[in-house]
Amino acid sequence: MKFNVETSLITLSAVLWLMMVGLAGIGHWLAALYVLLGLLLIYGVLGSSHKGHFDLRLVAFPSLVWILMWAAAFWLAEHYAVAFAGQYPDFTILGFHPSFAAIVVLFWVVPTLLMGFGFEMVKDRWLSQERWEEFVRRVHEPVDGDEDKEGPA
Amino acid sequence: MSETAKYLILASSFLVLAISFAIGLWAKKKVTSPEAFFGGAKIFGPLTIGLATMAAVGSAFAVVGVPGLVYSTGNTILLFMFAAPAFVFGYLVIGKKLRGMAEIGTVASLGDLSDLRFNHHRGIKLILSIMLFIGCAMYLSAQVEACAKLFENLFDWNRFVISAVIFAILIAYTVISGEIGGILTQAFQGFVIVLAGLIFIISFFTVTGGFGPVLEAISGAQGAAAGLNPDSMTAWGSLPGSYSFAWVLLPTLGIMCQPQVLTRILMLKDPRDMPKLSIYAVLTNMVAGMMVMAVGYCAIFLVANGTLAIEDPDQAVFKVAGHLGLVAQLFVYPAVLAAALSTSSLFLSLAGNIVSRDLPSSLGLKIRPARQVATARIAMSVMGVFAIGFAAVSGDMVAILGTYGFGTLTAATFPIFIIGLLWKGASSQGVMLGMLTALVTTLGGITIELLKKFDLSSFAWPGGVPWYVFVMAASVVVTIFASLVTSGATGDKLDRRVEMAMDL
Repeated sequence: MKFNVETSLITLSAVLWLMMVGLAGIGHWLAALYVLLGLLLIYGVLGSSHKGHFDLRLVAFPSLVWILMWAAAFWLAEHYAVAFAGQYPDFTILGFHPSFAAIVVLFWVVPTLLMGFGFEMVKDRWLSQERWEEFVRRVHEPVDGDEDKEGPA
Repeated sequence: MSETAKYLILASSFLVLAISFAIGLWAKKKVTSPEAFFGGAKIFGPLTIGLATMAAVGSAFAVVGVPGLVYSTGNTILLFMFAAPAFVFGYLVIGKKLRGMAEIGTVASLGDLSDLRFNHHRGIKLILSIMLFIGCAMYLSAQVEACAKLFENLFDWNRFVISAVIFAILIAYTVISGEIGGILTQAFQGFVIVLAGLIFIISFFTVTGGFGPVLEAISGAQGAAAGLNPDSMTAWGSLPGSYSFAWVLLPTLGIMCQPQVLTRILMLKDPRDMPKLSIYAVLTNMVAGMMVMAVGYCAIFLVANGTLAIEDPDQAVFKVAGHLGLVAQLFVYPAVLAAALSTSSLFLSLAGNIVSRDLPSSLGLKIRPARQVATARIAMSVMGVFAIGFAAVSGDMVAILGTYGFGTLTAATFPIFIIGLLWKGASSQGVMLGMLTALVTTLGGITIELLKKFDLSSFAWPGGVPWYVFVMAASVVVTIFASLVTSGATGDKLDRRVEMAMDL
């Protein structure tokens, strides 16, 4: 097996899977959630691969912004869950317990809209009409016509 | 409740069934080839696929079980429902590669995809077929059970007969129109769920006045007297933290490889519509998430105020609807039915595909395309009848198995379709070993859980983490490490067209 960047990343993902489940198994479930975010980042980078090159701008937006929001959501959720454990919270946000408000805002509503509409914004970078048409043409042509007409993203 | 109201609710539910059946009949004319019947038609737009995907992912468990869990254990389960960004992430990461594969040859099933990526490796296809079949059986039986319980609040009817009637209609339209009718009926059923969701969200604010009063109610003396726990309103709810971990992990990594999502991507007409598909899928998913939160919170509010008593959390959605009145009931029963039907029709089609195409092909048997359709129709009918029978004799066990379906399907599909499409080094031997690990550990996990259910084992999973998380991890890790030392379907042995799709 030749070790290229893709193989290194996927091997790292296997290590993260082990670390994540191991941490959860010994009771550190919150730390395991942060490891999950690392795993998502790796899959995001691998998914951006085009002919051996990674499109890190596509990873940065919207996926990385989403992942950072989830990290903040987990931190705030835990912070306020501990801060107001066993008592009525000193304040609420939109009527929610502040711990859950972090989840509603930073785990659910904002990242969902960000990912949904953000994907539409980077649509051409993700898959241009030209790249798709080129792919369809090459897939249906004989084997010896495999000349690459489009460079890496 | 008056008899008239009961029959109006029944009529609204059967209207959903009747319209679904009519759509199935109409869709029959679009089934122009065996491939189209099985799901190889790339003819649908993003709105149809988005609604259908949301409906098929949102099973009856989401509409009935989740509000019950919100009521009894708080916000933990909402982490599962709120992981909607994962939908988009899935499309972003593997969507174009997967859709590209559908351009290479006839791809009408997940087995066809596996064939393309792993050079027709029969072992992988066989284990995939077995795992998917187990997942189908789990999901289908759980949906039958949900249908059987649907009208028990209203009529003193035989539950077995109710589920048999509903499933007979479902089987009929699925058998007639295959995946074409499946997509269209699921899109309609998704619309019903969204409509019910909007009604419930408005009702929630009307009844409670907002989220603040719910928090105040559960924190008050009456909330404590009703046995409600104020800590359940934190982000992690009142369940152990390991559940929060599992219920974030499962949808986040599981959504992108669920058959409900994968098969629908293949049927999208223009892959560049995937961002639009994402928007429709997540917006409708958000309405569904908001609905189940609203119902659960409404139940907490009404019980904490002494207005309502709920003994069985699974009845929370019906009790709340009963309190809200006839209009809410006229929407909630059809919504539950729509959720059960949409998931069931997808898994019936999947089971038909497995029995008529993937399984015979993995065993080296060839069935003519026209005969495949006939075989699939028989398989769907038998599978539906089997699910009804299994649900009737197994009682609570089916509900337990139903909750395992998502994890089982994730363990089955992740190595092939996520690792396999993201990494050209994923070898056929590695994936085969990973799938074998998934199969063995799934059967082991289910056996242990059933032994525990009947007090025959006291085994506890490390950290209280649900067993299917270990199954997923084992299958992924074995796939990757075994691929590092093997080379089947990698490098020069990887089909050049598959490589092009993976490079998209």
